[in-house]
Amino acid sequence: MDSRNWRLGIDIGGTFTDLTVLEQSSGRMITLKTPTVPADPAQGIANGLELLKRQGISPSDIGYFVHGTTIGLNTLLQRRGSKIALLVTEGFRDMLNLQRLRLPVPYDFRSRLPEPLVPRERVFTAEERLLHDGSVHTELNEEKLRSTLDEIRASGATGVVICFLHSYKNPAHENRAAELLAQWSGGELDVSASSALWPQMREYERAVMTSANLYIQANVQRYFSTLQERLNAEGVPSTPFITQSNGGIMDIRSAAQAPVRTLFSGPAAGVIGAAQAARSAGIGNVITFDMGGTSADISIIEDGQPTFSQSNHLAGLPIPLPAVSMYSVGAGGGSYGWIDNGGLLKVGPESVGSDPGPACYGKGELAALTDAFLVCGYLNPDRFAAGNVQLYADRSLTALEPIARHLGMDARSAADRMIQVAIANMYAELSAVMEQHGFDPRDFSLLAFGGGGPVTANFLADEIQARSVLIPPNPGTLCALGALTADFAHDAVLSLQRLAADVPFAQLGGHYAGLARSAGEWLDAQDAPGIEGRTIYYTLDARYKGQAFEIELPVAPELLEDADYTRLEEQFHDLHRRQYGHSDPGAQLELINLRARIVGHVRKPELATIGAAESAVVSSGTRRTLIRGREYDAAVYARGGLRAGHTIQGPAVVEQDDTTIVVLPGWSGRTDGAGNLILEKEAEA
Amino acid sequence: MRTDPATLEIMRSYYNAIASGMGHIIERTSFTTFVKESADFATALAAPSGEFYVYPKTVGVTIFLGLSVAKAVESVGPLEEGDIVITNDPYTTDGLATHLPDVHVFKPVFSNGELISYAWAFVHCSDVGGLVPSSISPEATDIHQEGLRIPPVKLYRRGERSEDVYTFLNANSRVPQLNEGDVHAMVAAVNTAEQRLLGLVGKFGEQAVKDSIEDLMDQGEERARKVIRQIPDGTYTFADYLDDDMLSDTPVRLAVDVIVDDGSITLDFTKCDPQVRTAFNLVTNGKKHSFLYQGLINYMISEDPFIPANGAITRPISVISPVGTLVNPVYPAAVGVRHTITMRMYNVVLGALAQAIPERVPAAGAGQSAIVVLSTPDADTGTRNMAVVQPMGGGGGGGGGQSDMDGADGIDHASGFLKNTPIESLEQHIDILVKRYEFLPDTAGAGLSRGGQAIRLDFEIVRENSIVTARGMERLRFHPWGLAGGTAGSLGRVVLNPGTPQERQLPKISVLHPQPGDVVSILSPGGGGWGDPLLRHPSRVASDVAAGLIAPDAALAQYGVALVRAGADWDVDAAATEAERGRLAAERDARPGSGGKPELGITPSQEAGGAAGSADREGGENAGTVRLTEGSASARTADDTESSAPETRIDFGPARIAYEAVWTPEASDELARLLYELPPTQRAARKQRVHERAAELYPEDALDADKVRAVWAEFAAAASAGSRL
Repeated sequence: MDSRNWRLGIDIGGTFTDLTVLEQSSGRMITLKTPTVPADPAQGIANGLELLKRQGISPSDIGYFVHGTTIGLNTLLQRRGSKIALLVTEGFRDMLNLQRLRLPVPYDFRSRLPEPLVPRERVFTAEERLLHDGSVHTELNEEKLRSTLDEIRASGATGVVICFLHSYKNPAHENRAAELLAQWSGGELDVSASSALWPQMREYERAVMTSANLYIQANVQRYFSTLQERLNAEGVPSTPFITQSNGGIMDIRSAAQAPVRTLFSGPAAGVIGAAQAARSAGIGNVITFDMGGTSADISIIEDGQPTFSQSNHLAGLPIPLPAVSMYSVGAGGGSYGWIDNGGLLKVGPESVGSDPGPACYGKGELAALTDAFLVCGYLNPDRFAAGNVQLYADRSLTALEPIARHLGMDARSAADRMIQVAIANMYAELSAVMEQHGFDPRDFSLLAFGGGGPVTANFLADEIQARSVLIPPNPGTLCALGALTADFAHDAVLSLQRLAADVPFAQLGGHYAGLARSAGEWLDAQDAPGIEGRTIYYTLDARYKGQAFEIELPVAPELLEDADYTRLEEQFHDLHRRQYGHSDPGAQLELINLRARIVGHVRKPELATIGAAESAVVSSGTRRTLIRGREYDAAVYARGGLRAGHTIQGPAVVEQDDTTIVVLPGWSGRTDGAGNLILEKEAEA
Repeated sequence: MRTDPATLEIMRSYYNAIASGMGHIIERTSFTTFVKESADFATALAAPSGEFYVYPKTVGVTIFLGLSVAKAVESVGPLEEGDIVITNDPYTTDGLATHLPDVHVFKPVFSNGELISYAWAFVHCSDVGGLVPSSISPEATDIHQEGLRIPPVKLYRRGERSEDVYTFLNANSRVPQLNEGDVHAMVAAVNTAEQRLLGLVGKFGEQAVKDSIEDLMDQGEERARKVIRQIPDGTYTFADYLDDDMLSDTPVRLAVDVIVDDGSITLDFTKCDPQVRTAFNLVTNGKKHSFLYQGLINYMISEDPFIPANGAITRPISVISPVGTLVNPVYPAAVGVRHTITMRMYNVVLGALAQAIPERVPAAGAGQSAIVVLSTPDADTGTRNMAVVQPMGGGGGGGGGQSDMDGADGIDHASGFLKNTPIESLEQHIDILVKRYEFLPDTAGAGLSRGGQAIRLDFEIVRENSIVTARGMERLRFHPWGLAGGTAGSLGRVVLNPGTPQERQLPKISVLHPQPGDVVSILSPGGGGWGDPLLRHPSRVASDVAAGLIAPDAALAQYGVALVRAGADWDVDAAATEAERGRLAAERDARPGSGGKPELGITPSQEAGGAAGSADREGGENAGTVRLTEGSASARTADDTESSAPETRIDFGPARIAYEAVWTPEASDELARLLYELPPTQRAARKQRVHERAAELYPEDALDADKVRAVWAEFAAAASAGSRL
């Protein structure tokens, strides 16, 4: 056995830095927490390694190291990135300001588009023009570019993004301009071309994404180099792999080049971990439900595979890279209740944050959902967050008083109403997501994680008539599990935008082979000795001519050896019918984007199992709980006491270090061999 | 309230999920380019009364919120379970459908045999026949030229598809397969909504559903009244103009008296101009119609962002719109570009409110909603390809500034729901070469908060036989007004081949047949400014200059801000700025009957600088003498005209001042009154003749009521002489 039997995952949160180690041979996981050092995050890691040593794991035992970073994300959200410039085709200087025009809330006089990352004074134009097929209409004016460089320098920009029209079809002008700017500036300017990062149609989206990348890059690179120095000093032998938005990992060099690929990596890793948990439970269709302090997020796993989205937004900015699909569905544990102008009870969207936190933490005055959970008897005030945070129910009651008075009921009932309002909101958001994608929630199970997920999942599952609720054994470490078991993954795209009739079928195979080649080169270049085999996946974004939205059709590689489009078209009609209820075999097919994803497989650690039940499950007592207007004596269980084969009846509360599970009346839960708790509605009598 | 506040919030979430869910189905499955490019569709749930009790805020078009399905239901006759109704006809629906391409579909939802709700959707379909492809031509002179009228009929009868109806529909569209796809999408949407509503009945009980629907509407009404009570009681008069009616250059005047009385508002359109012979009419059958007061609705939602977005927020509003006016035309008036009226009414109603609460109201935005469409011949099929080049004005003209923020550059929130088209996608889709799609500097009205800058769109024609249409262009003559001391925004323009020897100013586009190589340049209007420009913080002026949105000399002339170049930045010269501002203020105060005298109602924008003072004025048709006159904005008759009244000065720009120097508000009011003597369909022609005759008789004079009556008498005499023959 490899002496370096441990995998290490590190996540740096706002409050804590989590270190998770996974023993490859047993699947055993240990998580340690150490306070985050905001000024020097790498120092927090060093502190964590020190704690590990005390557990008997020395840095030299670590053979595999994965790191999820939020440096890029925070740089973007807090607008603390580099001062950069943008160079666009003459006539389109306001691309970043015009955006797609539509105001977020058109009714509201105060509704405005988000501020661009590059202000107008640092947007410059180049004389050049390509046509829609990539042919040259106007050559790049290099002389003018030379004088523009002086203006860029004078603007104080440290880098420049180039986004020319139709560069996704032909990168020549962008490449030439990039080359000249880099050369003339003697490497003093960071130059980045949009077609090099992500050659997909839509100039605004491409410009934003490339700008975001350059905007955060310097910060991320600075952080990475400090990190590596520190790790070397600590004697960690392996270089870190970095988690990506697409659920895969990449080496640190790739991450430094394209940090924009890390923006959604935190939640993506959670979904990868959730997919693992779902697999261990033998469940294929899953809605992941992650409820934290400020929001609740969902993602869809279909037939064991996470779903991806190509049109993600961050704080109003489009980031059209493939990412594990993620949707915010509303309130988190810190979202507080309030009475609006018309006397209606609202919960969120404002949150109390971690400071002062919900009233029950003892500092704040506002009643948050966590207060409502506590008052209704779902949470144990002495066991919250593994007993690290003492909760004060009297503070919650006081905070709830104004709401209760308004509703004309006692504080406990008001808390119950708050929970139901939040659930109804989540229901509305969740059902919109399902509707947008044509999924039927009745075919799905809800997989709950995050601190608040398991508290509320059963309520939400009941609303959407989900099949079951799945709570993995350690919902708090799902992200780490996902990161530590993720494969290398890279996406490549070719925007075709042509009628199928105009593209000979054999050419299609050639295009895909080209994509596979470039993805393969990426994988070959990864500094990752442990990759065991690779798989290439092809998909096609296509639609009927004239249609509004394209759908993404998986394309089996052997299909490309066909003589013509017949089988591919049949599959498209089938998929269209499945998603939209109708198809139109007579219509022309439009090929929008060809996509390839390469996956470099890493060895999966063994999955942990738990022992079989030897005797009936014993509850540690009962607690008065208020659930949807009715009082119950709910049985209370310790999660650690649940063995494989145990079943429990709702109403019940299951307590564990990182969360609390509420089981509704009429539902029952059973534990499987992997330690998952699965809640199902009992058949109606 | 029958429902407790927590349950009501819960039910609201459910209804909202149903209504938005319908929208998502349409987004996913419809075929038309108008859904795809401009989100021109909507979905909602209506109560048995016909009012919408839930209307999504973020999916689709927002301006149908205050409409009702009641008349359409009455027209179609008794409804049964499983029926689905289709219509696009304004006249038989009290303007639920406002022009023919908007095809509406709705389904009654019954529980135990009792009607509990309607599920409703509309999509702006690709083509319903008529004079021109896509069915909208500003020059249509009666509704039958605009396509197939579908009065409310049953598309499904007790769950059975009416093949006859489909056959009729398909035979009357240039693109039947697209239309049918859109109708399918709407049918799927209303069917899904029915199922989900009945699911709620199963869960909460029928009574709870019925009660919560009523309560949600009561909520909307009550909260709307609360907002309206913030407006001081009184009568506020305002008027604004459409440039012309496309048949002559006589402006079309939209006038209103807004009467605020203890939480209720009456909009009296009696002094509005008569219906026109072109397609600008808005059919209402005299009922209140939310297209007339979208500005008021937006004001209410801006003041109370959590107000339930439902039709009952219009309950405090009543409307007086006499038969034969633009806002209550009689059959068969054409209606294709009725949105033009909606855009201007947005300005008119807010302009009236501005006299009571200027600090809560934005200045005028671009005020047009021109959808620029290119069509090219398709050699393969013999048909034509069509594409929206960009929406200009609605979603692509400056917004008006407001007391606490600048107007949005390039976006007028009067139709801020429109989306633009990526250039790369557009050029892929149709033969066109877009040369420029950018802000147009120095077009925003100046102010403490400036207006939004205009947009310039230049595109080169690539194919022979290309046709360009731009329904809804406006403000090529009358500026978007500035408020509270802010100056007016710039005018829109159309130029052929700018910057070349062949350059030529074009009038408002109806249909253009440019040649390959021609460049069509469309300049949107800019938004009006809000508040005194001399009070704008110099550093904000400096950042606009640095951004290239304001020229340094305009900063000095309009804002009194002196700047000096400092590398790539601009520094404020504090001393020079103070001096210049003092000088400008003194000059303004010294001007007779201007500045600091709100009762005059206007400021002379030419001297005050302002965007209106630059580019567009030189080529403008009213570059001559500008005379000051009493604007109609001053006709404030609130109880407290004195003292603490907030400053409401409005800068209308030179063209309007010049026009009203002759056609005074008094004269226009009088003519509007006299025109009622004629049958509605004859009024527009008579108005035109009166204008022509008055120009002959009194070429230099300001007209008053007596002079208008004198001209009128000539025609009346001629008419009665004619009838005696």
